Amino acid sequence: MAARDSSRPCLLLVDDTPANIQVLVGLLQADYDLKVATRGAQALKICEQTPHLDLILLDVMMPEMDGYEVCRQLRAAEATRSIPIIFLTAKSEIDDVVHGFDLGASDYVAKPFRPPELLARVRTHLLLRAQQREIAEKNTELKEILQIVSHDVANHFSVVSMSLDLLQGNPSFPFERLRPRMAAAARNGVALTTLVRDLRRAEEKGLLLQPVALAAALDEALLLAESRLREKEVTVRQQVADLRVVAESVALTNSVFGNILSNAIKFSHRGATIDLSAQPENGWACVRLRDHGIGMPPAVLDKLFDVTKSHSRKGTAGESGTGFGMPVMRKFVTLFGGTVEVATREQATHPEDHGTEFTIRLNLVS
Amino acid sequence: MKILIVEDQTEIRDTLRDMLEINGHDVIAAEDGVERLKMAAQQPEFIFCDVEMPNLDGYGMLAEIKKMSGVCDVPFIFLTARAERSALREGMASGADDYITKPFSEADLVKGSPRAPTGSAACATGSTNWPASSAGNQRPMVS
Repeated sequence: MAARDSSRPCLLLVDDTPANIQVLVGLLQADYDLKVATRGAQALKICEQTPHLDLILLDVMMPEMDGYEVCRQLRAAEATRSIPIIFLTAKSEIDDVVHGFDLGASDYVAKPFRPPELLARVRTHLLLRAQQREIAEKNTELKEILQIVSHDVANHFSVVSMSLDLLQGNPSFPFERLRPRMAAAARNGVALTTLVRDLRRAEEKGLLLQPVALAAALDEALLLAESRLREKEVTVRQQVADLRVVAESVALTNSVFGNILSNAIKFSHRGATIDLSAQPENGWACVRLRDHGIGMPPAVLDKLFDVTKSHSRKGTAGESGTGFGMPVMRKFVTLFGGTVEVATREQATHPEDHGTEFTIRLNLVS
Repeated sequence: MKILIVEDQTEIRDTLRDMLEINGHDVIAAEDGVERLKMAAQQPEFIFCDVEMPNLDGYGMLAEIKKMSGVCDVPFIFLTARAERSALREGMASGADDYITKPFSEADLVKGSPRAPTGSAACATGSTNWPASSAGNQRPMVS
Protein backbone atom coordinates (compact mmCIF):
# COMPACT_ATOMS: atom_id res chain seq x y z
CA MET A 1 0.00 0.00 0.00
CA ALA A 2 1.27 3.46 -0.90
CA ALA A 3 2.51 5.61 1.94
CA ARG A 4 0.24 8.45 2.90
CA ASP A 5 1.11 12.05 3.63
CA SER A 6 -1.20 11.99 6.58
CA SER A 7 -2.37 9.31 8.94
CA ARG A 8 -5.84 10.93 9.03
CA PRO A 9 -8.52 9.10 7.08
CA CYS A 10 -9.60 10.79 3.86
CA LEU A 11 -13.34 11.27 3.18
CA LEU A 12 -15.17 12.40 0.07
CA LEU A 13 -18.38 14.42 0.59
CA VAL A 14 -20.80 14.49 -2.33
CA ASP A 15 -23.87 16.78 -2.26
CA ASP A 16 -25.25 19.16 -4.87
CA THR A 17 -26.28 21.69 -2.20
CA PRO A 18 -23.27 23.78 -1.05
CA ALA A 19 -24.98 24.54 2.28
CA ASN A 20 -25.15 20.80 3.07
CA ILE A 21 -21.48 20.40 2.18
CA GLN A 22 -20.64 23.25 4.55
CA VAL A 23 -22.46 21.57 7.42
CA LEU A 24 -20.64 18.30 6.75
CA VAL A 25 -17.26 20.02 6.51
CA GLY A 26 -17.87 21.81 9.80
CA LEU A 27 -18.68 18.52 11.44
CA LEU A 28 -15.86 16.42 10.00
CA GLN A 29 -12.88 18.63 9.29
CA ALA A 30 -11.40 18.38 12.76
CA ASP A 31 -10.82 14.64 12.45
CA TYR A 32 -10.57 13.88 8.75
CA ASP A 33 -9.00 15.04 5.52
CA LEU A 34 -11.88 16.04 3.27
CA LYS A 35 -12.55 16.22 -0.44
CA VAL A 36 -15.83 17.61 -1.79
CA ALA A 37 -17.88 17.22 -4.97
CA THR A 38 -21.21 18.76 -5.95
CA ARG A 39 -21.79 16.57 -9.02
CA GLY A 40 -21.73 12.81 -9.57
CA ALA A 41 -19.23 12.95 -12.42
CA GLN A 42 -16.95 15.15 -10.35
CA ALA A 43 -17.14 12.62 -7.49
CA LEU A 44 -16.12 9.77 -9.81
CA LYS A 45 -13.19 11.80 -11.05
CA ILE A 46 -11.99 12.53 -7.52
CA CYS A 47 -12.24 8.83 -6.65
CA GLU A 48 -10.13 7.99 -9.66
CA GLN A 49 -7.47 10.52 -8.66
CA THR A 50 -7.45 9.68 -4.95
CA PRO A 51 -6.18 6.15 -4.48
CA HIS A 52 -6.33 6.23 -0.68
CA LEU A 53 -9.91 7.39 -0.21
CA ASP A 54 -11.29 5.81 2.96
CA LEU A 55 -15.01 6.61 2.89
CA ILE A 56 -17.66 8.42 0.82
CA LEU A 57 -20.71 10.31 2.08
CA LEU A 58 -23.03 10.35 -0.90
CA ASP A 59 -26.20 12.36 -1.47
CA VAL A 60 -28.87 10.44 -3.40
CA MET A 61 -30.76 13.19 -5.21
CA MET A 62 -28.47 15.10 -7.52
CA PRO A 63 -28.99 16.50 -11.04
CA GLU A 64 -27.39 14.77 -14.05
CA MET A 65 -26.01 11.74 -12.25
CA ASP A 66 -27.69 10.68 -9.00
CA GLY A 67 -26.07 8.99 -6.02
CA TYR A 68 -27.27 5.54 -7.05
CA GLU A 69 -25.49 5.79 -10.37
CA VAL A 70 -22.29 7.05 -8.70
CA CYS A 71 -22.48 4.09 -6.33
CA ARG A 72 -23.07 1.63 -9.16
CA GLN A 73 -20.05 2.90 -11.08
CA LEU A 74 -17.79 2.90 -8.01
CA ARG A 75 -18.76 -0.68 -7.22
CA ALA A 76 -18.08 -1.76 -10.81
CA ALA A 77 -14.48 -0.53 -10.77
CA GLU A 78 -11.82 -2.68 -9.12
CA ALA A 79 -10.03 0.28 -7.53
CA THR A 80 -13.09 1.70 -5.79
CA ARG A 81 -15.05 -1.48 -5.12
CA SER A 82 -14.29 -1.66 -1.42
CA ILE A 83 -14.53 1.99 -0.36
CA PRO A 84 -17.36 2.30 2.19
CA ILE A 85 -20.26 4.41 0.88
CA ILE A 86 -22.78 5.97 3.25
CA PHE A 87 -25.88 7.39 1.53
CA LEU A 88 -27.35 10.67 2.79
CA THR A 89 -31.06 10.08 2.28
CA ALA A 90 -33.97 12.51 2.64
CA LYS A 91 -36.96 11.17 4.59
CA SER A 92 -39.02 10.75 1.42
CA GLU A 93 -36.40 8.39 0.01
CA ILE A 94 -36.32 6.02 2.96
CA ASP A 95 -38.09 3.37 0.89
CA ASP A 96 -35.20 3.50 -1.51
CA VAL A 97 -32.71 2.54 1.17
CA VAL A 98 -32.90 -1.10 0.13
CA HIS A 99 -32.14 -0.07 -3.42
CA GLY A 100 -29.00 1.66 -2.12
CA PHE A 101 -27.89 -1.47 -0.25
CA ASP A 102 -28.53 -3.55 -3.37
CA LEU A 103 -26.13 -1.30 -5.22
CA GLY A 104 -23.46 -1.97 -2.65
CA ALA A 105 -23.85 0.89 -0.17
CA SER A 106 -22.44 0.24 3.31
CA ASP A 107 -24.98 2.29 5.26
CA TYR A 108 -27.32 5.26 5.14
CA VAL A 109 -28.05 8.33 7.24
CA ALA A 110 -31.43 10.07 6.99
CA LYS A 111 -31.46 13.81 6.34
CA PRO A 112 -31.68 16.03 8.23
CA PHE A 113 -29.08 13.98 10.10
CA ARG A 114 -28.16 14.05 13.76
CA PRO A 115 -24.45 14.90 13.97
CA PRO A 116 -23.52 12.34 16.67
CA GLU A 117 -25.20 9.58 14.66
CA LEU A 118 -23.41 10.59 11.46
CA LEU A 119 -20.05 10.73 13.26
CA ALA A 120 -20.64 7.35 14.86
CA ARG A 121 -21.50 5.69 11.55
CA VAL A 122 -18.45 7.22 9.88
CA ARG A 123 -16.22 5.94 12.67
CA THR A 124 -17.74 2.45 12.50
CA HIS A 125 -17.24 2.11 8.77
CA LEU A 126 -13.71 3.48 8.88
CA LEU A 127 -12.88 0.94 11.56
CA LEU A 128 -14.39 -1.89 9.51
CA ARG A 129 -12.47 -0.73 6.47
CA ALA A 130 -9.18 -0.61 8.41
CA GLN A 131 -9.81 -4.10 9.75
CA GLN A 132 -10.62 -5.42 6.29
CA ARG A 133 -7.37 -4.00 4.96
CA GLU A 134 -5.40 -5.48 7.81
CA ILE A 135 -6.95 -8.91 7.23
CA ALA A 136 -6.32 -8.71 3.48
CA GLU A 137 -2.67 -7.77 4.02
CA LYS A 138 -2.18 -10.50 6.56
CA ASN A 139 -3.86 -12.96 4.26
CA THR A 140 -1.57 -12.05 1.37
CA GLU A 141 1.48 -12.40 3.57
CA LEU A 142 0.35 -15.78 4.88
CA LYS A 143 -0.35 -17.02 1.37
CA GLU A 144 3.10 -15.98 0.27
CA ILE A 145 4.73 -17.62 3.26
CA LEU A 146 2.72 -20.78 2.67
CA GLN A 147 3.85 -20.85 -0.94
CA ILE A 148 7.51 -20.37 0.01
CA VAL A 149 7.35 -22.97 2.74
CA SER A 150 5.66 -25.58 0.56
CA HIS A 151 8.14 -24.89 -2.21
CA ASP A 152 11.09 -25.32 0.13
CA VAL A 153 9.66 -28.36 1.86
CA ALA A 154 9.01 -29.99 -1.54
CA ASN A 155 12.64 -29.33 -2.43
CA HIS A 156 13.96 -30.93 0.75
CA PHE A 157 11.70 -33.93 0.37
CA SER A 158 12.77 -34.21 -3.26
CA VAL A 159 16.33 -34.91 -2.22
CA VAL A 160 15.22 -37.72 0.08
CA SER A 161 12.79 -39.26 -2.37
CA MET A 162 15.21 -39.00 -5.30
CA SER A 163 17.95 -40.63 -3.25
CA LEU A 164 15.67 -43.50 -2.28
CA ASP A 165 14.63 -43.91 -5.88
CA LEU A 166 18.25 -43.97 -6.99
CA LEU A 167 19.06 -46.68 -4.46
CA GLN A 168 16.03 -48.71 -5.43
CA GLY A 169 16.94 -48.76 -9.10
CA ASN A 170 20.67 -49.19 -8.51
CA PRO A 171 21.22 -51.33 -5.43
CA SER A 172 25.01 -51.13 -5.73
CA PHE A 173 25.03 -47.32 -5.65
CA PRO A 174 27.16 -46.17 -2.69
CA PHE A 175 24.83 -44.98 0.05
CA GLU A 176 27.64 -42.92 1.59
CA ARG A 177 27.40 -40.56 -1.39
CA LEU A 178 23.74 -39.88 -0.68
CA ARG A 179 23.77 -39.80 3.10
CA PRO A 180 25.19 -36.27 3.58
CA ARG A 181 22.64 -34.84 1.12
CA MET A 182 19.75 -36.61 2.78
CA ALA A 183 21.02 -35.41 6.16
CA ALA A 184 21.25 -31.80 4.90
CA ALA A 185 17.73 -32.03 3.45
CA ALA A 186 16.35 -33.37 6.70
CA ARG A 187 18.20 -30.72 8.74
CA ASN A 188 16.94 -27.87 6.55
CA GLY A 189 13.41 -29.25 6.52
CA VAL A 190 13.36 -29.36 10.32
CA ALA A 191 14.98 -25.91 10.55
CA LEU A 192 12.26 -24.56 8.29
CA THR A 193 9.44 -25.90 10.44
CA THR A 194 11.16 -24.49 13.54
CA LEU A 195 11.43 -21.03 12.03
CA VAL A 196 7.84 -21.02 10.82
CA ARG A 197 6.75 -22.04 14.29
CA ASP A 198 8.92 -19.28 15.79
CA LEU A 199 7.39 -16.76 13.44
CA ARG A 200 3.88 -17.77 14.42
CA ARG A 201 4.75 -17.67 18.08
CA ALA A 202 6.16 -14.17 17.67
CA GLU A 203 2.99 -13.01 15.94
CA GLU A 204 0.69 -14.43 18.54
CA LYS A 205 2.04 -11.85 20.97
CA GLY A 206 2.16 -14.39 23.75
CA LEU A 207 5.78 -13.49 24.36
CA LEU A 208 6.66 -13.09 28.02
CA LEU A 209 9.25 -10.31 28.21
CA GLN A 210 11.50 -10.41 31.23
CA PRO A 211 15.05 -9.57 32.28
CA VAL A 212 17.53 -11.87 30.54
CA ALA A 213 21.26 -12.17 31.25
CA LEU A 214 22.80 -11.23 27.93
CA ALA A 215 26.13 -13.00 28.44
CA ALA A 216 24.40 -16.27 29.34
CA ALA A 217 22.15 -16.10 26.26
CA LEU A 218 25.18 -15.45 24.03
CA ASP A 219 27.10 -18.30 25.67
CA GLU A 220 24.28 -20.70 25.03
CA ALA A 221 23.95 -19.61 21.40
CA LEU A 222 27.70 -20.14 20.98
CA LEU A 223 27.43 -23.56 22.57
CA LEU A 224 24.66 -24.53 20.12
CA ALA A 225 26.83 -23.34 17.23
CA GLU A 226 29.94 -25.11 18.49
CA SER A 227 30.00 -27.97 16.01
CA ARG A 228 29.59 -25.62 13.05
CA LEU A 229 32.30 -23.33 14.39
CA ARG A 230 34.64 -26.30 14.79
CA GLU A 231 33.81 -27.74 11.39
CA LYS A 232 34.74 -24.49 9.71
CA GLU A 233 37.56 -23.68 12.14
CA VAL A 234 35.98 -20.32 12.92
CA THR A 235 37.11 -18.52 16.09
CA VAL A 236 34.90 -16.11 18.03
CA ARG A 237 36.64 -13.14 19.68
CA GLN A 238 34.39 -11.96 22.51
CA GLN A 239 34.08 -8.86 24.57
CA VAL A 240 30.80 -9.22 26.39
CA ALA A 241 29.77 -7.02 29.30
CA ASP A 242 27.55 -8.42 32.02
CA LEU A 243 24.22 -6.80 31.05
CA ARG A 244 20.58 -7.60 31.60
CA VAL A 245 18.16 -6.94 28.77
CA VAL A 246 14.41 -7.07 28.12
CA ALA A 247 13.67 -10.18 26.04
CA GLU A 248 12.37 -13.71 26.13
CA SER A 249 15.29 -15.95 26.81
CA VAL A 250 14.58 -18.88 24.44
CA ALA A 251 13.79 -16.61 21.51
CA LEU A 252 16.79 -14.39 22.24
CA THR A 253 19.15 -17.36 22.34
CA ASN A 254 17.81 -19.33 19.39
CA SER A 255 15.93 -17.02 17.06
CA VAL A 256 18.08 -13.93 17.49
CA PHE A 257 21.64 -14.86 18.49
CA GLY A 258 21.44 -18.34 16.94
CA ASN A 259 20.43 -16.90 13.59
CA ILE A 260 23.00 -14.13 13.37
CA LEU A 261 25.69 -16.54 14.51
CA SER A 262 24.68 -19.13 11.88
CA ASN A 263 24.75 -16.40 9.30
CA ALA A 264 28.21 -15.21 10.33
CA ILE A 265 29.63 -18.75 10.27
CA LYS A 266 27.99 -19.53 6.96
CA PHE A 267 29.48 -16.55 5.16
CA SER A 268 32.89 -16.69 6.85
CA HIS A 269 35.83 -18.36 5.19
CA ARG A 270 37.43 -21.41 6.76
CA GLY A 271 39.72 -20.47 9.62
CA ALA A 272 38.30 -16.95 9.95
CA THR A 273 37.53 -14.94 13.05
CA ILE A 274 34.19 -13.49 14.14
CA ASP A 275 34.06 -10.53 16.53
CA LEU A 276 31.33 -10.45 19.14
CA SER A 277 30.81 -7.60 21.55
CA ALA A 278 28.09 -6.48 23.96
CA GLN A 279 28.36 -3.04 25.60
CA PRO A 280 26.03 -0.47 27.10
CA GLU A 281 25.64 2.38 24.65
CA ASN A 282 23.35 5.43 24.94
CA GLY A 283 21.01 3.60 27.27
CA TRP A 284 20.83 0.46 25.10
CA ALA A 285 22.52 -2.89 25.34
CA CYS A 286 24.36 -2.95 22.05
CA VAL A 287 25.35 -6.35 20.62
CA ARG A 288 27.65 -6.36 17.61
CA LEU A 289 28.52 -9.43 15.57
CA ARG A 290 31.06 -8.85 12.84
CA ASP A 291 32.25 -11.47 10.39
CA HIS A 292 35.04 -11.06 7.87
CA GLY A 293 33.30 -13.13 5.23
CA ILE A 294 32.01 -12.54 1.74
CA GLY A 295 29.52 -9.76 2.58
CA MET A 296 26.20 -9.14 0.87
CA PRO A 297 25.37 -7.58 -2.48
CA PRO A 298 22.83 -4.71 -2.32
CA ALA A 299 20.06 -6.86 -3.85
CA VAL A 300 20.35 -9.37 -1.00
CA LEU A 301 20.56 -6.66 1.66
CA ASP A 302 17.37 -5.01 0.37
CA LYS A 303 15.35 -8.20 0.77
CA LEU A 304 17.08 -9.54 3.86
CA PHE A 305 14.21 -9.00 6.30
CA ASP A 306 11.30 -9.52 3.93
CA VAL A 307 9.89 -12.93 4.70
CA THR A 308 8.14 -13.07 1.32
CA LYS A 309 11.23 -12.20 -0.72
CA SER A 310 14.14 -13.41 1.31
CA HIS A 311 16.07 -16.18 -0.41
CA SER A 312 18.62 -18.53 1.05
CA ARG A 313 22.16 -17.98 -0.21
CA LYS A 314 24.87 -20.60 -0.28
CA GLY A 315 27.53 -20.28 2.39
CA THR A 316 31.26 -20.30 1.62
CA ALA A 317 31.33 -24.08 2.12
CA GLY A 318 28.12 -24.62 0.14
CA GLU A 319 25.93 -24.52 3.26
CA SER A 320 22.25 -24.22 2.50
CA GLY A 321 19.62 -22.51 4.63
CA THR A 322 15.96 -21.65 4.84
CA GLY A 323 15.89 -17.98 3.87
CA PHE A 324 13.75 -17.38 6.96
CA GLY A 325 16.46 -16.80 9.53
CA MET A 326 16.91 -13.07 9.13
CA PRO A 327 13.20 -12.10 8.92
CA VAL A 328 12.49 -14.16 12.04
CA MET A 329 15.49 -12.67 13.84
CA ARG A 330 14.35 -9.13 13.20
CA LYS A 331 10.75 -9.87 14.10
CA PHE A 332 11.81 -11.00 17.57
CA VAL A 333 14.16 -8.07 18.16
CA THR A 334 11.30 -5.74 17.23
CA LEU A 335 9.00 -7.54 19.67
CA PHE A 336 11.61 -7.06 22.38
CA GLY A 337 11.44 -3.34 21.63
CA GLY A 338 14.90 -3.32 20.08
CA THR A 339 16.39 -2.51 16.69
CA VAL A 340 18.59 -4.24 14.11
CA GLU A 341 21.11 -2.61 11.81
CA VAL A 342 23.22 -4.28 9.16
CA ALA A 343 26.38 -2.97 7.56
CA THR A 344 28.04 -5.03 4.88
CA ARG A 345 30.92 -4.87 2.46
CA GLU A 346 31.23 -7.36 -0.33
CA GLN A 347 34.48 -9.18 -0.80
CA ALA A 348 34.16 -8.71 -4.55
CA THR A 349 34.21 -4.92 -4.23
CA HIS A 350 36.27 -4.55 -1.00
CA PRO A 351 38.98 -7.22 -1.18
CA GLU A 352 40.94 -5.64 1.71
CA ASP A 353 38.21 -5.26 4.34
CA HIS A 354 34.97 -7.15 3.83
CA GLY A 355 32.24 -8.84 5.81
CA THR A 356 28.97 -8.14 7.56
CA GLU A 357 28.21 -6.53 10.91
CA PHE A 358 24.89 -6.91 12.69
CA THR A 359 24.17 -4.37 15.42
CA ILE A 360 21.32 -5.35 17.71
CA ARG A 361 20.12 -2.87 20.31
CA LEU A 362 18.06 -4.18 23.19
CA ASN A 363 16.46 -2.44 26.14
CA LEU A 364 18.65 -2.49 29.23
CA VAL A 365 17.11 -3.53 32.53
CA SER A 366 17.95 -0.72 34.91
CA MET B 1 23.86 -37.58 -24.25
CA LYS B 2 25.38 -34.38 -22.92
CA ILE B 3 22.95 -32.91 -20.40
CA LEU B 4 23.05 -29.55 -18.64
CA ILE B 5 21.53 -29.28 -15.17
CA VAL B 6 20.78 -25.82 -13.81
CA GLU B 7 19.71 -26.04 -10.17
CA ASP B 8 20.74 -23.85 -7.25
CA GLN B 9 20.13 -26.38 -4.50
CA THR B 10 23.31 -28.43 -4.17
CA GLU B 11 21.67 -31.59 -2.86
CA ILE B 12 19.14 -31.78 -5.68
CA ARG B 13 21.75 -30.94 -8.28
CA ASP B 14 24.14 -33.66 -7.13
CA THR B 15 21.43 -36.31 -6.87
CA LEU B 16 20.11 -35.43 -10.30
CA ARG B 17 23.64 -35.68 -11.66
CA ASP B 18 24.03 -39.15 -10.12
CA MET B 19 20.72 -40.28 -11.59
CA LEU B 20 21.66 -39.20 -15.07
CA GLU B 21 25.27 -40.38 -14.93
CA ILE B 22 24.23 -43.84 -13.79
CA ASN B 23 22.15 -43.97 -16.95
CA GLY B 24 25.23 -43.30 -19.01
CA HIS B 25 24.87 -39.57 -19.64
CA ASP B 26 27.53 -36.93 -19.67
CA VAL B 27 26.41 -34.27 -17.18
CA ILE B 28 27.45 -30.67 -16.82
CA ALA B 29 25.94 -28.78 -13.92
CA ALA B 30 25.61 -25.14 -13.03
CA GLU B 31 24.18 -23.37 -10.02
CA ASP B 32 24.30 -19.70 -10.79
CA GLY B 33 24.15 -16.78 -13.20
CA VAL B 34 27.20 -16.45 -15.39
CA GLU B 35 28.23 -20.02 -14.78
CA ARG B 36 25.12 -21.53 -16.31
CA LEU B 37 25.27 -19.48 -19.46
CA LYS B 38 28.92 -20.45 -19.85
CA MET B 39 27.82 -24.07 -19.48
CA ALA B 40 25.10 -23.56 -22.06
CA ALA B 41 27.82 -22.52 -24.49
CA GLN B 42 29.27 -26.05 -24.16
CA GLN B 43 26.54 -27.30 -26.48
CA PRO B 44 24.46 -29.56 -24.27
CA GLU B 45 21.94 -31.77 -26.02
CA PHE B 46 19.36 -31.54 -23.26
CA ILE B 47 18.69 -29.04 -20.47
CA PHE B 48 17.02 -29.53 -17.08
CA CYS B 49 16.47 -26.19 -15.38
CA ASP B 50 15.07 -25.20 -11.99
CA VAL B 51 12.44 -22.44 -12.05
CA GLU B 52 13.00 -20.63 -8.74
CA MET B 53 16.55 -19.42 -8.49
CA PRO B 54 18.04 -16.18 -7.19
CA ASN B 55 19.44 -13.68 -9.71
CA LEU B 56 18.43 -15.14 -13.06
CA ASP B 57 15.43 -17.46 -12.65
CA GLY B 58 14.47 -20.33 -14.94
CA TYR B 59 12.34 -18.16 -17.21
CA GLY B 60 15.25 -15.73 -17.60
CA MET B 61 17.59 -18.63 -18.31
CA LEU B 62 15.23 -19.95 -20.99
CA ALA B 63 14.99 -16.52 -22.61
CA GLU B 64 18.80 -16.35 -22.75
CA ILE B 65 19.05 -19.86 -24.18
CA LYS B 66 16.56 -19.02 -26.91
CA LYS B 67 18.91 -16.26 -28.04
CA MET B 68 22.00 -18.50 -28.20
CA SER B 69 22.78 -20.10 -31.51
CA GLY B 70 23.45 -23.81 -31.26
CA VAL B 71 21.41 -24.40 -28.12
CA CYS B 72 18.19 -22.52 -28.84
CA ASP B 73 16.53 -25.68 -30.11
CA VAL B 74 17.85 -28.02 -27.41
CA PRO B 75 15.03 -29.64 -25.41
CA PHE B 76 14.48 -27.54 -22.29
CA ILE B 77 12.67 -29.05 -19.32
CA PHE B 78 11.72 -27.09 -16.23
CA LEU B 79 12.15 -28.63 -12.81
CA THR B 80 9.68 -27.10 -10.42
CA ALA B 81 8.49 -27.50 -6.88
CA ARG B 82 5.52 -25.29 -7.67
CA ALA B 83 2.62 -27.45 -8.66
CA GLU B 84 0.36 -24.46 -9.31
CA ARG B 85 -1.09 -24.56 -12.78
CA SER B 86 -0.45 -20.90 -13.43
CA ALA B 87 3.26 -21.36 -12.79
CA LEU B 88 3.42 -24.32 -15.11
CA ARG B 89 1.52 -22.50 -17.83
CA GLU B 90 3.98 -19.64 -17.55
CA GLY B 91 6.83 -22.07 -18.08
CA MET B 92 5.28 -23.69 -21.11
CA ALA B 93 4.22 -20.37 -22.62
CA SER B 94 7.78 -19.13 -22.41
CA GLY B 95 8.90 -21.93 -24.73
CA ALA B 96 9.88 -24.82 -22.48
CA ASP B 97 9.31 -28.32 -23.86
CA ASP B 98 8.03 -29.79 -20.65
CA TYR B 99 8.15 -29.55 -16.89
CA ILE B 100 8.73 -32.06 -14.16
CA THR B 101 7.36 -31.48 -10.69
CA LYS B 102 9.70 -32.15 -7.79
CA PRO B 103 10.18 -34.67 -6.38
CA PHE B 104 10.76 -36.77 -9.46
CA SER B 105 11.91 -40.34 -9.98
CA GLU B 106 14.62 -41.75 -12.16
CA ALA B 107 11.88 -42.96 -14.47
CA ASP B 108 10.50 -39.42 -14.83
CA LEU B 109 13.90 -38.23 -15.94
CA VAL B 110 15.04 -40.86 -18.37
CA LYS B 111 11.88 -42.29 -19.79
CA GLY B 112 9.98 -39.13 -20.55
CA SER B 113 6.73 -37.82 -19.28
CA PRO B 114 3.23 -38.51 -20.52
CA ARG B 115 2.49 -34.81 -20.08
CA ALA B 116 5.11 -33.78 -22.57
CA PRO B 117 4.12 -31.97 -25.72
CA THR B 118 6.11 -32.24 -28.93
CA GLY B 119 8.67 -29.78 -30.18
CA SER B 120 9.79 -26.50 -28.68
CA ALA B 121 8.11 -23.21 -29.31
CA ALA B 122 10.70 -20.69 -30.40
CA CYS B 123 13.06 -22.36 -32.84
CA ALA B 124 11.78 -25.89 -32.93
CA THR B 125 13.50 -28.15 -35.37
CA GLY B 126 11.64 -31.34 -34.72
CA SER B 127 10.45 -33.64 -32.03
CA THR B 128 12.05 -33.66 -28.62
CA ASN B 129 13.89 -36.71 -27.42
CA TRP B 130 14.14 -37.50 -23.76
CA PRO B 131 17.53 -38.53 -22.51
CA ALA B 132 16.77 -42.23 -22.40
CA SER B 133 19.46 -44.48 -21.06
CA SER B 134 22.29 -44.45 -23.56
CA ALA B 135 22.16 -48.22 -23.67
CA GLY B 136 18.47 -48.19 -24.50
CA ASN B 137 16.58 -46.80 -27.42
CA GLN B 138 15.64 -43.12 -27.56
CA ARG B 139 12.00 -42.48 -27.28
CA PRO B 140 10.43 -39.62 -29.20
CA MET B 141 8.19 -37.33 -27.23
CA VAL B 142 4.49 -37.79 -27.70
CA SER B 143 1.79 -36.20 -25.67
